[in-house]
Amino acid sequence: MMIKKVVFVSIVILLGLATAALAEEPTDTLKKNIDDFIGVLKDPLYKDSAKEKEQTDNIWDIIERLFFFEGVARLALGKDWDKFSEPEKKEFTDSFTRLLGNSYLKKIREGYTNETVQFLDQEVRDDKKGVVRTKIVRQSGDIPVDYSLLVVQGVWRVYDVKIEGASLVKNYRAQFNQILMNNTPAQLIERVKKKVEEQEKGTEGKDDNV
Amino acid sequence: MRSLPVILAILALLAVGCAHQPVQSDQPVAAAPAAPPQAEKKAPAKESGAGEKKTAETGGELSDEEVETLLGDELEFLGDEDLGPDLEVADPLYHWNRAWFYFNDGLYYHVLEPAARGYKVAVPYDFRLAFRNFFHNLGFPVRFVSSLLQGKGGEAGAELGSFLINSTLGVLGFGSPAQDVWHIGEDNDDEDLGQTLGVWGFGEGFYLVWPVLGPSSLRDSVGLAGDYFLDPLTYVEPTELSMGLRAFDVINSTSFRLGDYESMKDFALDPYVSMRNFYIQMRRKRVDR
Repeated sequence: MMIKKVVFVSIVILLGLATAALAEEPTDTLKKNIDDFIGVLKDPLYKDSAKEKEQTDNIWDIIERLFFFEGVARLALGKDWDKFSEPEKKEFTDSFTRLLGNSYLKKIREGYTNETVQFLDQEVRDDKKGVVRTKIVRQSGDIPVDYSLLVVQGVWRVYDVKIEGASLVKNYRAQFNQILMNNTPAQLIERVKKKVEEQEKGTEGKDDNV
Repeated sequence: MRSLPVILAILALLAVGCAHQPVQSDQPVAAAPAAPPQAEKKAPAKESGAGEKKTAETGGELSDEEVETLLGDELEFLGDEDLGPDLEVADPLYHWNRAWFYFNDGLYYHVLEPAARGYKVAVPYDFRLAFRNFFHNLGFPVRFVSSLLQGKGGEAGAELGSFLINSTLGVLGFGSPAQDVWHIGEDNDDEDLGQTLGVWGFGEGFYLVWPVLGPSSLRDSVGLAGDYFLDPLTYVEPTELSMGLRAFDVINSTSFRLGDYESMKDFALDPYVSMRNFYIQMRRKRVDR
């Protein structure tokens, strides 16, 4: 009797764990996060400008949940990663996270009212990597956007975005590689930080940083 | 010229954003930060529990090794997938190219963008769309010939069918019933001779930035020269009218994509390299299709 109970309970737990890990398809996770994101942007609760900070914080929580920034940073530096000291790696990841998050947030803020996203299909490999194909529908025509996701500690998170087939990670890699040809890691970090500062002050002029 | 649209398409890529109407907006605030990695921790949202995510198991920070294990083959691909660890395309004219990039950048902010913005305010959407259809329809010879030269019979057929329908039922191409009603050739690449050369096995050669026309490569510049002769606008007389029409085409199509170039620059740390890389990635993608 006792044994039966134990076996039964174990099976239930095991099944529970198995489904908890794989309960969500990457598309669901992505969709949910994007919906949450737009939800926060649209929420009348934040109309009051005093609440703007709270809104931004909430959005950042979603962005950090959705994107696997450690992975993005690692991939974006590629082989140059090893040139960074431990503190530099962390510093770089942190400021690069701000840069990406700020740009992404700005992009969605500007676009969400006249764009919609269609989820086309998904492809999952070994239950741990997946690509979700979407299409941004807007006046000027559709733009295919593919998200690459992987399971990080049980949660699907984005590590690359391909716009019309062009990978954002590769794009950053080209930039970082070029900069590191003539600059030290510390200088690269400085540049990322300066850019983030400009973004957050909202003083980014049109012609600067060409 | 096909090239400006191409450039603008690249700019369009910056529409990374993506956003859509919330379907489940009843749960707007998902509190509980899901193990926000090491980035600055913010005060957790107040209304915790509103949308509990499946993040219970996300623990603390990941170590270097853990991140590497997770990325797995993505990291291994780094070496072979690109031409090299540094540049994705040869850029022997780097300084020259960069100078023209600055030039085009200034041109965009001081001429094209203000013109397109004013134009967008003045001209209703439906008209702008009709003009865009019209110019796209005129690009038929380039797309048709390029499809044929690449042996893409189906695509060529779709181009031909859509040209015939849009030129007649669509009234000189101002309307696009072929796409709107019959969905003909909707997924077609806009083929051009640069892509054709690519399909035939020619590599880019090297990266090249043209004044006004923007990013290109040696191969695509050759293609561009061919496209020029397949473009009906080339044969419009007098030359002033021909050039005026081209300029109008550019302003009209830019009016649909305002903000994209700005967005690319917002994401980029080095916009010149970012643009170069996006251009090359997208062209390769299109050649492969």
